Amino acid sequence: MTDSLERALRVAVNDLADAGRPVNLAERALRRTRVLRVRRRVATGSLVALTVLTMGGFAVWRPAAPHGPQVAAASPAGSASPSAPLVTYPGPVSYPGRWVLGSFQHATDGNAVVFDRGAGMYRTLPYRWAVLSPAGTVAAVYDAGRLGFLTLGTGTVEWVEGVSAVPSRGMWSPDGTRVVFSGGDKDPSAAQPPPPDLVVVDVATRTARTLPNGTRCGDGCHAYWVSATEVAVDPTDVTTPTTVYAADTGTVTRTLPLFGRVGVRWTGSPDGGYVVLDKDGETIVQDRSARTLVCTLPADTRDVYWIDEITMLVIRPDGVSKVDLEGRVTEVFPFPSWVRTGMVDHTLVKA
Amino acid sequence: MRRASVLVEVHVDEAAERDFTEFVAQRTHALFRVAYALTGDQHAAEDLLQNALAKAAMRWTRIEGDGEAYVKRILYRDCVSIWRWRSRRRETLMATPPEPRADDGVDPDLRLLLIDALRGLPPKQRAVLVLRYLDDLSEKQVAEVLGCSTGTVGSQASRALDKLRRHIGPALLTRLTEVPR
Repeated sequence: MTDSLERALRVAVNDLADAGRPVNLAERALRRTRVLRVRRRVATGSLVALTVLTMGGFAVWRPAAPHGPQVAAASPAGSASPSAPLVTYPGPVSYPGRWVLGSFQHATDGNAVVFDRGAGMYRTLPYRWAVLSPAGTVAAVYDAGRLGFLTLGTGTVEWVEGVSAVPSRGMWSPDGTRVVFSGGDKDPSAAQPPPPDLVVVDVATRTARTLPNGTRCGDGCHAYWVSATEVAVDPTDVTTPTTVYAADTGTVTRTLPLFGRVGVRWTGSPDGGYVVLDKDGETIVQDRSARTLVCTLPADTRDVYWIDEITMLVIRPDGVSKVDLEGRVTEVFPFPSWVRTGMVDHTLVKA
Repeated sequence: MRRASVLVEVHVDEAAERDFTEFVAQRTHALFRVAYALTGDQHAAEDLLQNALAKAAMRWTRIEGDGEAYVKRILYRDCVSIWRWRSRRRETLMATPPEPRADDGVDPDLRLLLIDALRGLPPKQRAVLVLRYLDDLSEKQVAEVLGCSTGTVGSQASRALDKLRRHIGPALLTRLTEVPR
């Protein structure tokens, strides 16, 4: 490398480091520490019972809230932006294929927003991330490393303890009965970084299973469901097949030859013939049986949902586009202004 | 007897918490710079640093040596091993554009292109470059922090630099080589 490139790179790395806004994290870190201590005491073995803590009668919002824009008091349980008002927005924002905008996040304060189908509105939550269940009635929420389940009908949160791992953004199983995430709280001073655990949480029985196959996954390690009974993570080396594990036992069930990384969510077509992947910075569609590249999706693709076997909804920064299997945009649905301005991480859910 | 031991434990925890809080107050800025350089995102940097501080707090009284180095080691390892992507591709909103440096002598276009390219690198490659060019560590020291071999560090750095060169493009690269040393 030339001296001039090295010098420019040094300046650029320092510029990037200076672009953030430092915040006081001491209180949050200490609160998180207390949560971890509880987990350490409770977690024993690979199959552990979860302690579910209902928030002492506290609800994030009052049940049966009236329709229309309103502002409620923020929950003291959250840390994303504890003092921010919990603004609501009218909904739903609908798309072809019975898809509706399910969740997104305020880019400025980091609060998640989810669609409450019972109330017909979008609710801002005092939590950093929220992932709606397939039925849209429960949201897995994440805050200060905690995993909780928010029942949208009542506004109550049950926090899950007893899992010795930092939850990544978990993924719901297709039938909505379980959540899988990857992570680990093992001693960070160990000579070798420990591989992350895959943890499957059964929502109904309040149990979590840390899968015995501690798999070392690649950059952007994230667990996802391949089917209703199988989970996987992208491999370290993308040229090797992806290993699939049984969610019940952790045993290897099969491998998948894929052109690229799945990323955070398995995005297969309804008939299973195609899958959307990230490869060399592009989002592509692979024909799974022919093992061929079908098309490349728009460069600013954020996420993909299938309408039918040949049509996709592609989430882009300013809205949602309908795209065919040749990668052509056939219809554009701009986000409403209140969604587009300062909002990121949009996801869809079935109506 | 049991009551006394509990009191001692509480006393130790409170003292450790005070010490830890003071450490965070003094070193947050430096640690946040690393976290932001690793993630390129305000909220992700906060999450990364918050988790690293929590892990360090649990072992605060047992950490030998420099607490800042300990937290940085967790930052780098967590960034690589349990990175949590929010969506298929990360959003690249910047809270505040970097302020230009008046005296760095680096082409402004090149600098912005490099920043953009850095944000697009996979976590491990970016971690290697941040360790090398923000923390000024040697290849061997980078390997120790990340818990991998020097060969892995070299290959990751090489791939990262290849991507940066491709992102910059030949025109700017030519201008770069013309800069007098």
